[in-house]
Amino acid sequence: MDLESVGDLAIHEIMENLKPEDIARISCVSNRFKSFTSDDSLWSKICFRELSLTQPIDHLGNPTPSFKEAYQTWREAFVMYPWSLVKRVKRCWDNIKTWLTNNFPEAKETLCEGASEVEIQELEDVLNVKLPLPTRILYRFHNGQEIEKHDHDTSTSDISLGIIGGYSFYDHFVNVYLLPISQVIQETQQISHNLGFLRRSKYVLVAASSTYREKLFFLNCTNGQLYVGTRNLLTNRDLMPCVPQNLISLHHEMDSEKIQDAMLLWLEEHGRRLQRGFIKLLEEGNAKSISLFPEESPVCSTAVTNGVQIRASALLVPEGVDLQGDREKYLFSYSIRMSLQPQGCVINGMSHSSCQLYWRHWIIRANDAVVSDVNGEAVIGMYPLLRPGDKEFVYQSCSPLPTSSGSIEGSFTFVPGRLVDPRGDPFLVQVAHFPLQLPDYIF
Amino acid sequence: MVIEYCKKHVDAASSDELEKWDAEFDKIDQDTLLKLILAANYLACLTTANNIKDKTPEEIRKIFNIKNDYTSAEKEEVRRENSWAFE
Repeated sequence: MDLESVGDLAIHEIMENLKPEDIARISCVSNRFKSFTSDDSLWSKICFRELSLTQPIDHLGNPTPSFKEAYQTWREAFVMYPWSLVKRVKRCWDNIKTWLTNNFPEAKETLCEGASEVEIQELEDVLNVKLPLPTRILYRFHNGQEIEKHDHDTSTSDISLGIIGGYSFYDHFVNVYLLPISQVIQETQQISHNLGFLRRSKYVLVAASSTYREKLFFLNCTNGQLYVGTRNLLTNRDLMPCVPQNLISLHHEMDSEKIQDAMLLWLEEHGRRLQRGFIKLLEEGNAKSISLFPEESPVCSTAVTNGVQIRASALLVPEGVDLQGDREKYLFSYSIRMSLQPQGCVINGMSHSSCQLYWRHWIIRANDAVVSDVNGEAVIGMYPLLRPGDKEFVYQSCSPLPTSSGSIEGSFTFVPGRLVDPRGDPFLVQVAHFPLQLPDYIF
Repeated sequence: MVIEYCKKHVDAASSDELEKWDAEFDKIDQDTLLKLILAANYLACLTTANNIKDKTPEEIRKIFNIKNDYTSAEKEEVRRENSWAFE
């Protein structure tokens, strides 16, 4: 009695317990075995389990005649990499792309198709570096974004499409995108011209702000860490690491899925933050962009006083950090969002249909010591008028800090009604304490 | 259940006793019977799968006594199609 005569139920059961590699090898055993392994429902399950595919498509998105062939093209396309790491990178991209499809399709459109091995090799040859494995695979899936550089003030487009996103305060506007290989090569060479240490120490520019602001992210090909340029990049080579150093693992004997460089960790964390709503899309009129101001408590505080809701959170501005500095070492930007709840402005049992800001008061702490206690009229020169049902009034400002940790709290003075027609006495609205903190991941 | 059956058949004193016991045994319900088939099937398949894991086609042929019915050209083609599995 031989294996082939056992019957389909058994054969099927056996296949269910084999890895795709084993099934492929079995098809080389005999013609009968080849027909066993050609059952496309088997491959359909494998494609779904390993690649989340619901349609038979290859790695470039082209349809294939069967799931079996689809799986084959995927394996062949990535045969030079550990398959478990390829699957992990795909999951990373899928996570980000799902969020983009649901929230920011204009940005998804800018993602370029995967780079070829030839293009990646060219980058390595021209810049004389060896990209860490996860980053190579990341580029194989998508070769950066196609973005036009623009001057924020004069740009006709209000949409800032960088998938890393950014922030703005006063005249400082950044929006970070992933560079395609052609730009990685060109711009790394340009910058290395002025900063020789970048070339010698194997740094490549992988992400930057599309506005003419100096926010630059460099991947170090030797230690796998991602660094962001600070204010003193040119004068003092000051960079800050963007990902917890202890997580980086460029080699893994036992499990290649655990090989992780800063680029992969950074994008995985970013994808997680987008998916869970820690950061969100910002829409101001026609302008759209991914805003890096946190939306989740306790990093974002919320307080309601007399119906006026104030949400507040801050982020580190690495390109404004002066590591050589003293009192103004770390620059933080904060975003304040104000709104009036549906019941209106309620004071002493009376409800008003609007209220307007007149005054602000901030107490800024470095660690626990008060370093600043400021008072002043308006916020960024404006006196926001709040009405129930209106969108949040949002504004940003900034504050330097001598330490990497601190907080801000304060209050606004509002009048019910309007400043030109007050309907009662002014009242204080609390801004609950929110942290200023050097983050574990810098975006 | 299989174990019970075997034990009984080994320990049994007379063939009469055995016949009576077997008659009772045959009465087991359909549901249990089916479960028995599936369990045995699953166990056997799992074991077979483990024997196949990580083996080359030639090794598999030897273990299960399968004849290689590929022509030279066919063999080359199927090997090429699945070359990714041979890293």
